[in-house]
Amino acid sequence: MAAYPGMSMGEAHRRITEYLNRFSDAVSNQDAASLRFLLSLSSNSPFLLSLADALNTFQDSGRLIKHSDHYSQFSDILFNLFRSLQTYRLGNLFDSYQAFEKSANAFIQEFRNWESAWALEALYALAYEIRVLAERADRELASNGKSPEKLKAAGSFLMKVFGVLAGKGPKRVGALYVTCQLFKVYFKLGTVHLCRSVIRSIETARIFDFEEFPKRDKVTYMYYTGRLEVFNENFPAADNKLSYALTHCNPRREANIRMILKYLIPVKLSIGILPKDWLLEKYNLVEYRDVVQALRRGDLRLLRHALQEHEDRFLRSGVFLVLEKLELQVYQRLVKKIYIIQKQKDPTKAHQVKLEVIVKALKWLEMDMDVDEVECIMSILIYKNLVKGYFAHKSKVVVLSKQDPFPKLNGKPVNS
Amino acid sequence: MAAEPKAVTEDAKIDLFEDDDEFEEFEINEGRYGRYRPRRPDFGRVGVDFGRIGAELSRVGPNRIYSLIPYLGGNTPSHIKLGPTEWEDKEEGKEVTQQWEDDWDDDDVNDDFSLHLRRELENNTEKN
Repeated sequence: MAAYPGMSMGEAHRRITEYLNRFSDAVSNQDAASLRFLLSLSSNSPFLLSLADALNTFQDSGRLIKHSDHYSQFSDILFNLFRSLQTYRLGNLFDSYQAFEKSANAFIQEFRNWESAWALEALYALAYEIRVLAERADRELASNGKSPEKLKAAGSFLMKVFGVLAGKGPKRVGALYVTCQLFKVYFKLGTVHLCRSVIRSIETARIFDFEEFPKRDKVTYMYYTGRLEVFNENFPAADNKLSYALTHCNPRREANIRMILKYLIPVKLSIGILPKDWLLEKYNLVEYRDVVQALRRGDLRLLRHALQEHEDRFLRSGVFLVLEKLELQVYQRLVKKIYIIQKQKDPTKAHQVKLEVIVKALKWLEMDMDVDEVECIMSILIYKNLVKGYFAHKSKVVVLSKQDPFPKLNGKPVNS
Repeated sequence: MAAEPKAVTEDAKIDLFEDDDEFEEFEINEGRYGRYRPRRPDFGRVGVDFGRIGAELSRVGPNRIYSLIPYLGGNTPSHIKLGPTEWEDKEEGKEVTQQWEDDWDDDDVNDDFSLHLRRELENNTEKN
């Protein structure tokens, strides 16, 4: 992509100098919002794009930077930022990232020396930009048949930034935003185990008080840590965190709410709580509809069908196994229905359920099992306290407890 | 995490870049803030020729900048938009009850599925 053809050297000179003045003014006025704008490469603002054209026209911005004391003190930041912008404009994302990282490192050195937390908002932009530029650089590398490595490098840089913020001063409230950028990096790379060390810092270090962090960062944090709890099958913890994210998320952010629910719904199902249908409808999570219906009915065929139909989707989000394990709860519901039906016909004998009857019900649901297999499943249900009772093995009968034979989960997952 | 087989290495590399459920960035001022309150930028002082935008700016003054952000064009990412977007936390109890059911596991067997189940169990008994 050629530099803007119509720009004169004089015009280019003017634009570059203007940027330099705005930068140094932003710093001397402690104007973080302006500074943030000046660092946001990926925003593609016309201002920055035409600056890039000016830089590609003028070619010797280094000289301009040294021109005045106001900005020569920031020469490492600015020189590399300009290189990043120029290469970005020319579509060379790998070089753009490299230069941006150098600029960002220089920025951090300055940031360290600024005592108050005035520049945090600009630092957030830096953290965001480095991640986004790294993603694009990696895409470029991959498309050229090379191994992607820049997102990983961005992760290391962000850890460094975290270290800078993890102190006793007012800058510490920025640590959660950086943590969330790190989560996005690690989730994208699939290296989620690396989240552990930042989580430990946030949750156990004495300098951090979770309540002090900005709400939007707390919501994002709870969303990602909630997802990790789902992966680790800690359902009560997942419920707490994802519910927190749901309650505190801006209700206008429907895409984010949908994502929270996508993970929260399987968790709720695992502890015996069903989402109302309007919730699935409103946030377009209809892939869960049949699963919910299967639980309500005790319909094992419907559960299997639902898991098959949306298998790809459930596998991608990592909730497939969670949903598959709902099968035991569906069995419980089915056996309970058989029990109630029997009770209506003959209350005196209802608490004795012949295994053969269950076999017949399963056959109707297109599940071919013999009596031994059904006995096995019933043993599991009893063991996991989904059914209270015992076997009369010889007569192939389950004798149900007269009191509360199908205990409810009461908000606890099955394995507990 | 996906179990689908991938044919080519290129596809596998693209897989690296995906997290389908990346949370959208909130705006800088979105939600209640606590102690730190960022200042709005003051573009009015800078003599910039934005052409049409410049004319607008000189007309409405620097404090109205946030209403003019759409004019600046480009992909203004959400983290650059200005102006606070506060929202109140939902009343936790009320909202929660409206979204979830925990007493669905009742003794009702009058739904279609249960009626069909009953017929199946009766039919088989008759056959025997």
